[in-house]
Amino acid sequence: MEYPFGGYIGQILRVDLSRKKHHVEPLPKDLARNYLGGLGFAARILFDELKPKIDPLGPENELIVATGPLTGTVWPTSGRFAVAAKSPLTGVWGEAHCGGFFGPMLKYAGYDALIIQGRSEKPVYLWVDDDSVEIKPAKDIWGHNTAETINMVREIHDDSQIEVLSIGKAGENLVKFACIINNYYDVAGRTGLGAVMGAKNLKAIAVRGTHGVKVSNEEEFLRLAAEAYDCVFKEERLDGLKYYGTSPPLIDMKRLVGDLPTKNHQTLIFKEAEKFGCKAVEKYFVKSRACFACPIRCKKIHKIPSGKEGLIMKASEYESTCAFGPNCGSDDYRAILEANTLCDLFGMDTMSAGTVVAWLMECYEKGIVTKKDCDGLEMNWGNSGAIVTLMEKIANREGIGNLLAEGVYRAAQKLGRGSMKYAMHVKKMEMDLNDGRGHRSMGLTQATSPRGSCHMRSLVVVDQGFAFKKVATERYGEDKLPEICDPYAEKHKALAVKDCEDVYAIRDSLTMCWYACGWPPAFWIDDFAAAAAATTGIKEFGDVKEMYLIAARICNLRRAFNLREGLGANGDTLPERILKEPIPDGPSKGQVVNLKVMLRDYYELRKWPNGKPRRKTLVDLGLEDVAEELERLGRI
Amino acid sequence: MEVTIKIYGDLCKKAGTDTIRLPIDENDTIDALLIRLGKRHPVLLEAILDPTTGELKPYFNILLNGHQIQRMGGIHTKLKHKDELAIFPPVGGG
Repeated sequence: MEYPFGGYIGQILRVDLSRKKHHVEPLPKDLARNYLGGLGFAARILFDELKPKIDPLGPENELIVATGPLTGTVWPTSGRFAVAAKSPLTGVWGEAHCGGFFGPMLKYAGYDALIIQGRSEKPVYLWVDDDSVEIKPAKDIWGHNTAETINMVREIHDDSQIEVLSIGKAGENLVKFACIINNYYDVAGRTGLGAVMGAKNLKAIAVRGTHGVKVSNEEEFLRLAAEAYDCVFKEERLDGLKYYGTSPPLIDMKRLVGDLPTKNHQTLIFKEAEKFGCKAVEKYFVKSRACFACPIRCKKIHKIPSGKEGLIMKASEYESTCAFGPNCGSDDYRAILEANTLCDLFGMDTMSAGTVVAWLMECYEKGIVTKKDCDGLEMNWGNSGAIVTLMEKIANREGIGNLLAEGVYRAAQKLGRGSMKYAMHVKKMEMDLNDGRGHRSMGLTQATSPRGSCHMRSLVVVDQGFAFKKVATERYGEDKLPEICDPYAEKHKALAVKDCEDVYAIRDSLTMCWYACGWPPAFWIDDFAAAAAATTGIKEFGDVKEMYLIAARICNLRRAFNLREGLGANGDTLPERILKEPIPDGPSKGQVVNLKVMLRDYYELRKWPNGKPRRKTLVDLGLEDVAEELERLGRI
Repeated sequence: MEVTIKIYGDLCKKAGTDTIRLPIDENDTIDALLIRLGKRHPVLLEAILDPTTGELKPYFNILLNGHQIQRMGGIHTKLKHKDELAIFPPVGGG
């Protein structure tokens, strides 16, 4: 029988690797209605099915791959999917999001989501070919990098159009920040979900789908989608992304305003960053790439001079450029792209990898580690050769790489010698390449993100400057000016962070790309509501209030997941450096983050006294069962 | 006295250059400089200013020595010798 809501397929594929079994479950209607898709599905399933305190690398952990109602439709930037599990890096809620083509293909094969549970005794890969599902041996693929894995799986099935999620050496070796790669370049990067696959002996998930996605109100959907394409094509706001990608324009801006983490966040000014700006890298441009149904095409391929032919590599995103560049004191663009490429091939998160190397460099600078401790590598700031070498050592857990593979928190814990002071993490996840001292709301965003330090869960851009006054006024009211646009003010920032966290929870459940609504904002929650209603036929989705209600449900559920693990307000903090060390130079000179006042406002807006949801807050969201479990465990 | 104007992102293509040096007089402000800039690079000025209000278009940004001009005196901020003005198309994020 056809599923009653459009956009959804109406099926979940559950695979038990321990028992070598699989079965198809109907997508519960209340799951679609109350949690929308993607992130929302994952949050509800993991809260229901995981027991607290399980080992993230044990068979009890589950890996969820979930799409949303827009995935696989022609809606611009809707080719994404969510991956989630309990994180081996943080020990709490783990989620990552990915572009490419896998999400649409999963739906075309007939599934809204995959649930992978158990652990295979031997390396395997999952082969989903429409209705046919097989757990196949991966003995010959194990040990290969992610690109080889994708190629080998496609060769085995003699189909170059198969979509493959794969792990590399890092996932196999349980590097705590191993990631999952789709289609060579697209990455479900953070929280170590590649290690969850590795622990399950699951090398890859390959999918071929030949069906389609039906929307409910086709006429209205196509009208809205056409408007959305017009917006993306015509808006000069998106030109920077179209021409240069995510990194060069941001590098140019952040280096000038003093917001570019440098040398493990010792400062926010890196004079040589001009070498990664628009003018400098434009000459390397070869071509643009796009994810499914995306006219922005923000992904770029660069050709770097090297020998006769040159080296053709994926241009790094802003976070990766800064992680291996300024934050490691390096101005070597070629080395940045090499480290970035190695991370893709080995399957490692670039932000965590760069941050853990920056920590080692600061330990070296401070005399905490020696050249001998670092396998003979001189870990001076900017030693780009050492940065590249360490990528292989981490992935293979070789020498000093074995320590770094544990992530910066555990590495500092093991090393001791006062090195924890320089471990830049939140909730044990390495900091993203942003700093609340140069962009105040970022401090609150990083501190409250359920998956650990993360800019993506609630990135507020309106306080990156007064150029955003118009949109700040529309969203939050003129009375919030000028503070809400002031990069160095704490006032009203909790309001903007909470709002963005809610909107992005919807974005990640539909599922859409950050660049659809992030910055510059092509779409916001009213656009999402209209699209969701036309796609699914669920009229209530067309009401923005309903969207905010669903978002609050998802945000509270993630909070409940972490509280159940024992992490609440105690995890909502920032490294001491961000709270106490004033920026020494540049436009942000003298700035520190006064987190306490922003957190107070945030908890008040969320109705989380002391960081814990009130019972009533949960009940009002339809989460009475969640309230009861937290009460039973003494968490609220 | 002279100031340097750096043009970023795809605005360079419209301006045909990424760096412009212009002389200034004592007490000159940013708006006076922009008028002078418009005479030499009209396409650039069209790209960044709203034709009806004459104000900077939403999302476009002007920095003076790395500081947002709105945190100072806006377009009425006084300029001094060797100041560096940066003109940005829409950009933001992390």
